[in-house]
Amino acid sequence: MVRLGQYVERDSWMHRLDGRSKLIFSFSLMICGLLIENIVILTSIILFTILLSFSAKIGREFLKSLKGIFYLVLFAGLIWLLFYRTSLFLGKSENVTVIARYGPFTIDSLGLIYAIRMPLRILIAISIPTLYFMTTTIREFIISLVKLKIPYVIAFTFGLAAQLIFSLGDEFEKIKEAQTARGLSIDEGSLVKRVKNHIPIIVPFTVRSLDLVEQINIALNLKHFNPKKKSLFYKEKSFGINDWIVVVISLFTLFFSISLSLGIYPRFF
Amino acid sequence: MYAVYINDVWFRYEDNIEWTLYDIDMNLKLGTSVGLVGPTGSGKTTLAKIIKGLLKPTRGEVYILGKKIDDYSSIELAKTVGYLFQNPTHQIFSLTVYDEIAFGPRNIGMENIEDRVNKIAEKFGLSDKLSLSPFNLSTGEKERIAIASVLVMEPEILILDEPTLGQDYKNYNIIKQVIYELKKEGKTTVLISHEIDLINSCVDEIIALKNGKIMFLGNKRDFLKNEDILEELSFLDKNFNLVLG
Ligand SMILES: Nc1ncnc2c1ncn2[C@@H]1O[C@H](COP(=O)(O)OP(=O)(O)OP(=O)(O)O)[C@@H](O)[C@H]1O
Ligand SMILES: [Mg+2]
Repeated sequence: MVRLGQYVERDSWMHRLDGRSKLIFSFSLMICGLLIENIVILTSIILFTILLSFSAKIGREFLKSLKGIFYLVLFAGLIWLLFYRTSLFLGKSENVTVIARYGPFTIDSLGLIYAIRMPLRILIAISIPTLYFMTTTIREFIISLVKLKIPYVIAFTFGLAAQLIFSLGDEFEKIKEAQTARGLSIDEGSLVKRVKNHIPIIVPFTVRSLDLVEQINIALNLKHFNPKKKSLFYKEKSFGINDWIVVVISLFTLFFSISLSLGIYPRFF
Repeated sequence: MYAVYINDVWFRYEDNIEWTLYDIDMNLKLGTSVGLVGPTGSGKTTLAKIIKGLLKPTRGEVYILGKKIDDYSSIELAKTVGYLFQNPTHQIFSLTVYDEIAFGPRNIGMENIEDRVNKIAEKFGLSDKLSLSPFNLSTGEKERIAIASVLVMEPEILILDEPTLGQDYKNYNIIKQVIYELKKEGKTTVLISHEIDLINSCVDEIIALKNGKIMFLGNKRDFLKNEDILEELSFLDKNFNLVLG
């Protein structure tokens, strides 16, 4: 099973990049995705991310883990198509042409645009962190945050949370298998029954989660973890020429997306 | 008719490049007990999950009691093949030990559940714990509950994945006794374990895996006599002498 955003060990230029430059790059690309409304550019960002994943030699794993959120994205598109009018983010609507009407549902041109734009944005918001964590270990993620002057406690907590999510995914699978082996079938019966069917999974899952947290807690105490001291790691990966190139590209991306969203078109464009 | 018949099975986890199991050919006659052994990561659990139908072989076929495994419904398979997982905390969820043991039988629609639960509880020394919460019991008791909750479903084929892992001597012996009795009753059992003593007392046949390939398949006695294979499978270390005192 490929889990969304779990580190995949490969030898590629993306893996070798410093965690900081990758973080800055991911961040600016995500801001770009949020600011820009142009569907063509949004699509290009996604294609670009996919391209990057292949150049990091994890294309197959990356696409497979995105397949898992396919329905979520599809669902989001449908919701926007039908209900975008109720959105709080919406300004005054411009000239809208109605395309079709089925009972209470109206499909119009603006809805159609939202139905494409919003799923693209969700896809960007998920796929970029996914790519980041598939090419960066959690350990390096924490180090990067610390080096970027984020307080150690916060950095550490973020890292721990990320780690925990992956472990919990494993636990969930195992529990599901164990209960299926005893004849539990989740997808049977009425809606109420189906919800009830999940109890044999949720209870052990909660117990295991608390166990895990307690284990981590004990481990931290045993090692005299002190959030004020950041003595751990620091076998440095130095900030190389590639990293600087990535940072410059990031800044450019940021500049480009901000000016586009403000309606200022850079001269050279 | 074989209890389990595996024909040229290859298996690869979805995201792996390498095969986890290569070219597995084996069969298990009804009423035999077989020990599935091998170093950690050799593919024992994977093979067991294929027999239980939790994983689908990438290539090859699996027959359970003469019927292709794909033709079983999930309830049928739950009835036919019992599976004890490596960690009992993955399955315990009920408020009482009684409910925990009765969960499987209720799922597959068994009758006389109360009698069955009481009988099995007695066998495992759990009779006085039936009304307690399973969460507060010791690891040994949890493991016993887990085994009982699988056995109570009376599966024709039983797979036990390291049932004595992390147990103290007393619990180990209780579990060993139960598995030994299963063998005497002629239950078809697949026992996965690193404990040579448990294997020695509780199985007739051995299937030894290493790096996903079958290294040895045959009689237990021949297996235990073969020092090279024992060494190869990390059951024996000729170069290691324990020095005490
Ligand atoms: N869900 C999974 N996804 C990918 N690879 C896996 C998965 N589960 C196991 N593996 C890999 O398959 C190989 C065999 O694992 P398996 O759990 O079958 O070994 P095992 O013989 O049961 O080991 P142990 O004695 O430690 O329980 C290992 O290399 C393991 O890393
Ligand atoms: Mg195993």
